[in-house]
Amino acid sequence: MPFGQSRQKAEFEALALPYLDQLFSAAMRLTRSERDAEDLVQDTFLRACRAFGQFQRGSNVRAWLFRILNNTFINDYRHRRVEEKIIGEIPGASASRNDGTADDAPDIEDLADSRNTPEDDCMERLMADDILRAIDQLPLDFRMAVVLADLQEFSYREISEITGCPVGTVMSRLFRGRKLLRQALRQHAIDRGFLTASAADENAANEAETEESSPVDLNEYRRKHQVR
Amino acid sequence: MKCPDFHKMLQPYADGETDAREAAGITSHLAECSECRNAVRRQREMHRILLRAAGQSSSLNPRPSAAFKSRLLKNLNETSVEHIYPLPIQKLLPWTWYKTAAAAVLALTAAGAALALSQSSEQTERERRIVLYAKDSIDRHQRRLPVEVSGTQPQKVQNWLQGKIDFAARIPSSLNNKASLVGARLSNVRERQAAYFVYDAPDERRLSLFAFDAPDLEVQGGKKVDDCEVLLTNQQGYNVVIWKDKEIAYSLVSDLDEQDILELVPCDGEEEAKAITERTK
Ligand SMILES: [Zn+2]
Repeated sequence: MPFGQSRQKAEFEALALPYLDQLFSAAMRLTRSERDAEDLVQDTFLRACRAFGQFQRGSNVRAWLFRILNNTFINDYRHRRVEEKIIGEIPGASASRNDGTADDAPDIEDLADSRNTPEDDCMERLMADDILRAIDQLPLDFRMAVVLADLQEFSYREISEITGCPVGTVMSRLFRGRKLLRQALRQHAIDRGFLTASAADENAANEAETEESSPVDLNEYRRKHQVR
Repeated sequence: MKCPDFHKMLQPYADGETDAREAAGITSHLAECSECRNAVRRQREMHRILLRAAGQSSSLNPRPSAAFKSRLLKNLNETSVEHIYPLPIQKLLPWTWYKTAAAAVLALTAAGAALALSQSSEQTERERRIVLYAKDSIDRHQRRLPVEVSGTQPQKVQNWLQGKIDFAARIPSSLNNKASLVGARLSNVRERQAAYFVYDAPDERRLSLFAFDAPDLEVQGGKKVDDCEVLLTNQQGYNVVIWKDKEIAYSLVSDLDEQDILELVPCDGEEEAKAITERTK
């Protein structure tokens, strides 16, 4: 081996590169721009490579990479775009980047018999891009939690490690993020004509019962119930 | 427990975050409570819908392009793992590596912060200095400044240095016969005046050897190599070896790998390392 650190580089690449697609997908949700996502993922890989000497062999490489992605984004990227501009806009009203929106619109027949379908069926019919756009419009902390839990399927503990927040904070961000997302998707369904406003109100009222209170820390819950 | 007691557990339950006993209690409640059942079902449905949306490649969720992938691989190729341990090479060498230097590198990173805290502040300060000298040597190496005196003969370089530096530096004509002297220039390493020797290795690789008088740089602790105690650190893709010889500090910078650069370290007692500049006060 004449030059370089080929062995460690090979080990790093073998461990890290399989997560390229996942990291890129998460980076798209965080930066909302392909160019920024490319830069963010590249920075993440280069930082991870340089720091690979400190990586504990056998520990969770995927969570480690996402932690670097998260930190890189927080430190270098979050100010690149005006985060607040989009929040508060009606979901779906933001400019669509592809011209396929018109083709994607449901035809009249679909609209006619969609009135009485349950809400979940309506959600089912939403376009993937509408759903992604709704995620992209969540405030950053909530978006991060939803992306990591729902799209990347990390555990609470892993998300806590990635974001550096306690598990209780992760749970409440996730809870509120999902709630905001559901509201946005419901609005989408109404806009698309999949759901009537009155049916949506009814659904929302039903949910309010179980979702009114934000979640407590799991540990607090457990303590409370062990006493009994 | 009453129904509202379960509400806060529904999210962790649907996420599979409850333990077996908790899950069993919730499952039996769900069997008789449609409201909670629906809440769990809604969350799981939502999760499935989100996953499916993300799985559908579109302009909003493209896969990384082939052009990006090849750019990434190319840039990765030019990046090095910055570390000096674990040391796979350690076993191959006749001396052990200086462990404190390893800790110094770690201490500079967030991951190593806890480690740094566990050490005495005196120790940490010493390590910090070592790394600062290493990093400054790299900065100067990277600038690839031209030599002010060229020549393969140490005597010529020594004559030129006469009166320009106030310490005596050894000038090997070659680094263990593997890299030959090209010339020298005056320089600094941190606030220290330094003599900067340039060596050429095969493959057009340039090595920088800095000699400077740095009483605050302590290298004790490593096992001896001939008469030298050697520290090695990897920073920014470069390996830097630091040692002291007759009170003068040396730092050798190269992008050669650990083993190769260590083989170049010229220590006292070697045939080709005779030339010594005179102390010129
Ligand atoms: Zn219930």
